[in-house]
Amino acid sequence: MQGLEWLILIIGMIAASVALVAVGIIFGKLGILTTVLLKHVGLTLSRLLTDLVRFVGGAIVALVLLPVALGRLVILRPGSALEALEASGHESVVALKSLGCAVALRPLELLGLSALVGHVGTRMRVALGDENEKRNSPAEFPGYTVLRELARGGSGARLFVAEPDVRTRRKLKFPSGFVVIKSFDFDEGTHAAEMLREGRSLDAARKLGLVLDHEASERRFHYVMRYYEGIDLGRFVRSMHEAAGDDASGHGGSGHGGSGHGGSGHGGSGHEGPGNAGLDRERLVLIASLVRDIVATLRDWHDAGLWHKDIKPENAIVHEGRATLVDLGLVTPLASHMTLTTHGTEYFRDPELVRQALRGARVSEVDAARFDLYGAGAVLYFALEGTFPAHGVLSSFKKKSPACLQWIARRAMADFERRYRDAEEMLADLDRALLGCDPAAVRPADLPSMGGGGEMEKPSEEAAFLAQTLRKDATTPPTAPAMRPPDAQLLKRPRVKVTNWWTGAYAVVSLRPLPPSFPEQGRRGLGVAIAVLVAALVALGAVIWFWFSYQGAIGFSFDGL
Amino acid sequence: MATIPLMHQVDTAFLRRLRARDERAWFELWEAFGPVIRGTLARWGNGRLGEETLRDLTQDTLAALSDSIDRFDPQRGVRFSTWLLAIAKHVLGDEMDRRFAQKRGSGKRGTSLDDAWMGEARVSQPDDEYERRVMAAKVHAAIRAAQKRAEFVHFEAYRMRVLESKQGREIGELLGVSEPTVTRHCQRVREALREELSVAIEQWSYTDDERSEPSRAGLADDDAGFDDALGEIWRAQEELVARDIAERDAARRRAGPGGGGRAGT
Repeated sequence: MQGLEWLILIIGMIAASVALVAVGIIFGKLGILTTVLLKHVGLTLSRLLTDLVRFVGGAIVALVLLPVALGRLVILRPGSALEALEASGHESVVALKSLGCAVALRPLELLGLSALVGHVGTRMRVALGDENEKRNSPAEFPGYTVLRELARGGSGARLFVAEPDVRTRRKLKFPSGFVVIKSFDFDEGTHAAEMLREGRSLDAARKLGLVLDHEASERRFHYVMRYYEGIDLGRFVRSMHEAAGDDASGHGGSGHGGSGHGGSGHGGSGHEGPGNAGLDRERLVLIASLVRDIVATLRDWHDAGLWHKDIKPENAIVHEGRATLVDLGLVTPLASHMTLTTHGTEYFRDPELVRQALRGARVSEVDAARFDLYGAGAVLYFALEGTFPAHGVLSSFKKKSPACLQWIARRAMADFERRYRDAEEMLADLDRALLGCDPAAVRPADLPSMGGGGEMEKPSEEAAFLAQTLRKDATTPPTAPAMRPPDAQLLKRPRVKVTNWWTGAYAVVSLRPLPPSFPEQGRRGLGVAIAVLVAALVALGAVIWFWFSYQGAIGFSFDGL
Repeated sequence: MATIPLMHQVDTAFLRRLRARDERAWFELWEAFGPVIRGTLARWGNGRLGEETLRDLTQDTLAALSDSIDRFDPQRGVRFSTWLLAIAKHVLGDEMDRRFAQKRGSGKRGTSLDDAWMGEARVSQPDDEYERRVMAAKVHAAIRAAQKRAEFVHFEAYRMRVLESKQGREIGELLGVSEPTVTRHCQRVREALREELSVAIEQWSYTDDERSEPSRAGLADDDAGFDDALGEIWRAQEELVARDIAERDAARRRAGPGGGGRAGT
């Protein structure tokens, strides 16, 4: 056989192999698609069945109620008869709606037109004045693709996770990541006062880079912030305490504190017992570092003339090992001439704020930044105890924790005139407590606010290592080999990426559920596979055609091989 | 031995402030007795009242108190605690009636708020735990007031001594001061506490029996006895509130997500 023939044969074999692999991939993915299709058919059929049952049930009840109404009319109880008649009418409407769904909508859904059905249905209901539908209809923001809606906050605004388009990203100088859009709409029940409250700090928030974009129209106002994927500090702290409790019960309940580290520690109060062991050193350092992040953010905000007003664990997101303060709902300029209000969250709100508000004081008349410090102290208390300070500064520490951290928490929650002057002072104390990554070795007397800042020794080698490693990934609490994940709830629906369709191997991409309208990577992979298959088949076809043409031209036959 | 001056005349200054709708006086009342009312309502509700309802009912209790304050006569010998309880009970009764749409009647006259708190016999008497809570709330209010007056370091030294049972030397080491300095800090705070306690008792006690409660609890004793009694009440109050919070948390968990929220006006 000549060299050219061998070449054609090899090319043909490669093309056939590639085609075979592509077919395998496609069939693997088709298997998944088939499953999805079957699930869709099953769901639609079950909905169809539900509609039919509802139709039959509604019709029966409506028919039964008619003689009841008639009977009540006969015994001269027209009011009751009318009630029965109304109920019958309502059931009839339900039955007719169900029949309509079964006959018209479900077949369309079966054909994959559920998006169209849903959109038309929603718009129809909105047009007919259904307030609930108005509130729940998907929002649209030019330049953004809404991925999913988050739970509403206290202000009644709607929150959406969205992805900016390329042009918007360029305009915002926001190259990657998602955003949160907070939207206020008069048609969705937002009050003007809420809009004004949120709007008054926007300029300052933009300067700080907290708000990326905002837009207002006659009926709607929205602003855009960076989206931080993580868990809130409240959940994070609770999971740490749960894990620490498990560890303590598993290791004889040895607690952290006074003499836990070479006998040189300064432990605070705390009762001995299986449930009061407190956090170990690594966890303590980590959560104190997260509180430090919050205080550092507060310092920047206060310097920029803003007051957060709602400092609480749920308003800090633990993201890439750091705590980020979110929720601008109550942010107020420190120089505002508005009267103080008592907004805030119980146990994290300074009682002095309430007193001053009841006195009718204006924001600019008080040093409102100190109200945030109270919140920061309460958050530190929460971090150390796993529960909120029910008695404010008088709250006792039940779990073992370093005296200097307890001191900082109390000092921040102390009476208005006695607490830290500003966030900078609190930050200096926290930095001192965390300097050696062993807060238990620091006395309250060593803190800068107590005049003890002069002897800041260099962190030990071990401490420096700890400081570097601890914050690498705070979403997964460090140490403790058998520790629980930060939040079991979030692991229920992890976002996964299949790495091998043949073996079913996958990798967890994120603890958060996949947003419903995320672009699906799998479909893109299928397209590539189909393209490769087509190319391989074309190549194979060309080889075969060329082979036979070549044979015809030179009179070659397989018999000669 | 230092003693708390017992009042023989009903001091109505605080009542006057309440009647004058002094918001800060109302907040003081709320701060001191809000947790007691809430805890009591929660016990009566027996787990059937959600957190939001409890908060609303506690506020309603103070609102009802606000409506009736003009007609309250402290000379009639009703204990402050009984008065507070009667109003809370009235508010809860109204809520239950509203919720279950029960018709008053069947020959029984509906209770007016005046009937509830003016006539002692009509109100079921408060139990011991409730009385303990009210007494502890008064002591706690005094501690809060003393904490505001005292230097932060002084108060912390006293707290470590009384609540954490730390020795003077240990406290001195933590605070970077000598043991005699710690003793002086503690003495200053103790004096402030005694003064504030007498003010709180005077403010929220309407009968001789109520006024003698601090003495019976050991708060009129010498310094060591005073510290012991105060520490015991302080801890007991914390435990009661912690228990209330734990019960509320459990109720919230049973009710599912969405129980929390932002409080404000």
